[in-house]
Amino acid sequence: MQAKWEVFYDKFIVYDGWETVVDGLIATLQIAVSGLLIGIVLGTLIAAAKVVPKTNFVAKFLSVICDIYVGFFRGTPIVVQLLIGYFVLFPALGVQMKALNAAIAIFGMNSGAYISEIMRSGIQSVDPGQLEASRAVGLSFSVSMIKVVIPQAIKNILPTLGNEFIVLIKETSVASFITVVDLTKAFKDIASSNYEYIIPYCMLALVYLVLVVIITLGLKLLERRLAKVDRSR
Amino acid sequence: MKKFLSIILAVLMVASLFILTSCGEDEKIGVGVQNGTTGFSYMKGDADWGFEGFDNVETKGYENGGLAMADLMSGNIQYVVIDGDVARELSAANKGTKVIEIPLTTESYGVAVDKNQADLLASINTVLAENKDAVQAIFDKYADVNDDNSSAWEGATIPAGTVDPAKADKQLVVATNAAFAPFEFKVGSEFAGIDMEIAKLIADKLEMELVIVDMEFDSITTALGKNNVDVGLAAMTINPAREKVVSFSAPYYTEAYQVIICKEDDKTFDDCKTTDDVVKALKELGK
Repeated sequence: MQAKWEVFYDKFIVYDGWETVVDGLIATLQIAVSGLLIGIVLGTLIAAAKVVPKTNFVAKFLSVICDIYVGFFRGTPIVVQLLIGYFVLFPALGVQMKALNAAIAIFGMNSGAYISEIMRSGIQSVDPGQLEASRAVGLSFSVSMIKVVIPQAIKNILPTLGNEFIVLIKETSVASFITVVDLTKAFKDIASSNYEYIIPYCMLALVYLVLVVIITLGLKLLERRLAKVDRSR
Repeated sequence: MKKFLSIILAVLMVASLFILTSCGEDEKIGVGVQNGTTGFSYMKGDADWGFEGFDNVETKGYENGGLAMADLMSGNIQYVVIDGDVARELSAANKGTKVIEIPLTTESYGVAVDKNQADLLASINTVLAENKDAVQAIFDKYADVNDDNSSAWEGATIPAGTVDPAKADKQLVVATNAAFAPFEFKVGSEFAGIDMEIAKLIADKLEMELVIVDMEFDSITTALGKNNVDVGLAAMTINPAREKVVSFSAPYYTEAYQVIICKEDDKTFDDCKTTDDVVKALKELGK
């Protein structure tokens, strides 16, 4: 056991393995944060398209497109989406991006699909009486949505979004399929350079755990703050 | 509530700066390698081997050579560094590329044997020593590069078999990474290739049933000795780091080396005659 620690110490500190780990951590956070933001933007747009009453043809058409999009990104594994996106789709479209940006784009689109469902259920969980009352008072559909329904929906949506962020951080561990050096790949590189796997793999799990615990604490603070707003009314 | 939203907006703006700074094309030249192989250690640098590595280029690790070639063709990387024989196959399969036929390293492949099976190691060494002609014949069979090597394995692919713990000592369970033509590759659901035929030869001579298990190259050294896996035959270079974890047989192939694959119109290495020329040119890349 002693020898294993020495070997790990060697690669990690003496040979600057920790630099790769820090780079990997930054890459993981970049993918998770950027992916979440792209996902929120896309998710909101898709949820909006689905929630709007289907009065005319355009609304119905958009709704169908969104269904197809969500169906594809929820129906295929993230690894398959990464492989198809980076090795098949982007070259076919002639788009040349850094692997990191390709990963951000694909994770963003994937999150967008899941987040749209979160948004939609958040909006629909607000008492339909709110929408009816604000329409009855004379507000248009969009104004009553933006000023009345969505602010109340956000209370339901935020905790689930936080959950989605945590899931995203863990999902990024497969980004190494398209050559992105994320946290997992960084530790795997250390492990495979001297064939001692036990300590690097355990450290890897520990780092993810610490990361998720920090984010969970942040989310708890957020929820407490939101609940405070409720009480003071 | 307004303050809250403005905080969120501020966070969004900071985050978008974050995204924007990571955008843009690669500044560094990209070199593709397969994860866990000698090429990977060569480009990244490895103290055990004595490789300095090249930090003027960005070394990207792929699952296998095929994916690295896909990226070479689409322009995301400019070079691929991989074993010579495999490079020839990959280049033949991807029109418009060429192999720079100057060895970058000298390596020998050996059969990796679980450290706890010294008898098996001794038997394998005996088989290899007594059947040098048969092994050479296998290499000669695969020396002709036609599109899918079918002239070599036609009608004689090797089935995977299933691991049966009850028959553990009658089975020779071989771990490999079947994405490395001509050494090991899959034809449908069966295996073919130089290493696979050597495995069959060893299993036949030792009168054991051959079972082949396909996995990631990196996992092979850890797999030995667990779940009944006995040996690893995967064009594995004998190196000091690996020797700490597994035992190697006597080398069965001593003319292995790494080479560079690039696009046909790439002139960077055209004037190189020796290994030192190539290394010098590699160090100059991107400068």
